[in-house]
Amino acid sequence: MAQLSPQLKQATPVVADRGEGVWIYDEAGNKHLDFTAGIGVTSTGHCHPKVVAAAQEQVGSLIHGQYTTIMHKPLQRLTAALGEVLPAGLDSIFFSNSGSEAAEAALRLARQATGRPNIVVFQGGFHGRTVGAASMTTSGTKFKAGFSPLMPGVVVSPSRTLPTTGTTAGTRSRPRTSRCASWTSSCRLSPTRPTRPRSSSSRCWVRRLRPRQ
Amino acid sequence: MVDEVQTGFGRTGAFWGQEHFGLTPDIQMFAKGIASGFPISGIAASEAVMSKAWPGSQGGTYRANAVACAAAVATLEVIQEEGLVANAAARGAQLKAGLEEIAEKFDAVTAVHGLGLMLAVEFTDKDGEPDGAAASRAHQHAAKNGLLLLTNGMHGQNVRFIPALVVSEDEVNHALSLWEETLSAVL
Ligand SMILES: Cc1ncc(COP(=O)(O)O)c(C=O)c1O
Repeated sequence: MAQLSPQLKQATPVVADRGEGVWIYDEAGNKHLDFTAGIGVTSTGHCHPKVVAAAQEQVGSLIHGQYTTIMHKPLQRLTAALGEVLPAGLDSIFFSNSGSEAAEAALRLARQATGRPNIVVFQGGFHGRTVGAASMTTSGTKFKAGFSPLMPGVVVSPSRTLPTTGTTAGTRSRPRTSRCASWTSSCRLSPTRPTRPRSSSSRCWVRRLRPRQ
Repeated sequence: MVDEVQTGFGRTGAFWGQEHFGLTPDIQMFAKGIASGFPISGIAASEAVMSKAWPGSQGGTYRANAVACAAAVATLEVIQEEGLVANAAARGAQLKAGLEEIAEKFDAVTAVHGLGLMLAVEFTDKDGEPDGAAASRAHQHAAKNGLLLLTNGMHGQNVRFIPALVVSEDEVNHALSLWEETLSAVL
């Protein structure tokens, strides 16, 4: 009999039957207040009626239309809709399936656009589990241990919002990006890492970051 | 480059997390909240930057799946129509204030971090070290009491609160009362 990898352990005992808004219902009919949202994914709640209707309608007309073979209407509509919400000037979009793939795509584009190999990341960030994304991740050794060699060309800068307790104390310095600037294609940061607060000092620190001269 | 995978689509109480910091990225990543659960992500850049991608560097069998795209369009509409960015800011402020008030009552809870509906409570032991064991006990107890949360941090010392952007005032209050009960039981 097949079973899940022992590494795929669930953090809670819940076996979900259905979800509605911020609630998960299990098979015994118990309801659980879901403040995880699938790690921040179910933005409109579980099974928002409008999202369900749109997906159901699409399932009945076209499920898969490989996007470098044919164009499909949902892709055209989504590209237009993102144009309304993306920051001004960021109007060219590439689509992938997961956060890690987006990290890989950003890495690849930065290197190809600049011709420079190095990436500066900020201490404490999580960018995913594929080799490139894991190489840029510094939120825990467990995400990058045991499958070396990782991708070279990643330079870690101290982050102003590091914890002041434990082993990471004493790193409240300015980021030293200039040291590696000539080879550096881009800097990558998460606007707010899950564990750290916005403080006025972190905002000032971010504002001091400057493009390479 | 800015990684908006988790911070995008209203999560932090602004549409993009970068708005809190006045950032203007050359390349931006997005994923998670875009499609309410369907797997779709991507990057955005200016035409000038994106046109520097080499031939053959972008493609993929399953990317931009039609059902995921349709769900994403509907998600963006719901975020707009239901004012979910403003709701994330308001409910986030309510949740943060409540978590801070509860934190006052327990020595082991030393900080409440985050923006909007992306919050974390940090546990510290008597010696001032990050306390992953206490965070884990709180997380497990909360789950048993019907409140599902996440943990993270270098030492597993944080318990995270990251509900859907549609969460109501009553639901936030309900979570806060379950959280206070949890801390009373485990600390
Ligand atoms: C900021 C950030 N970047 C990247 C990722 C990786 O996304 P995925 O797990 O979809 O590959 C995550 C996932 O938690 C994330 O929070």
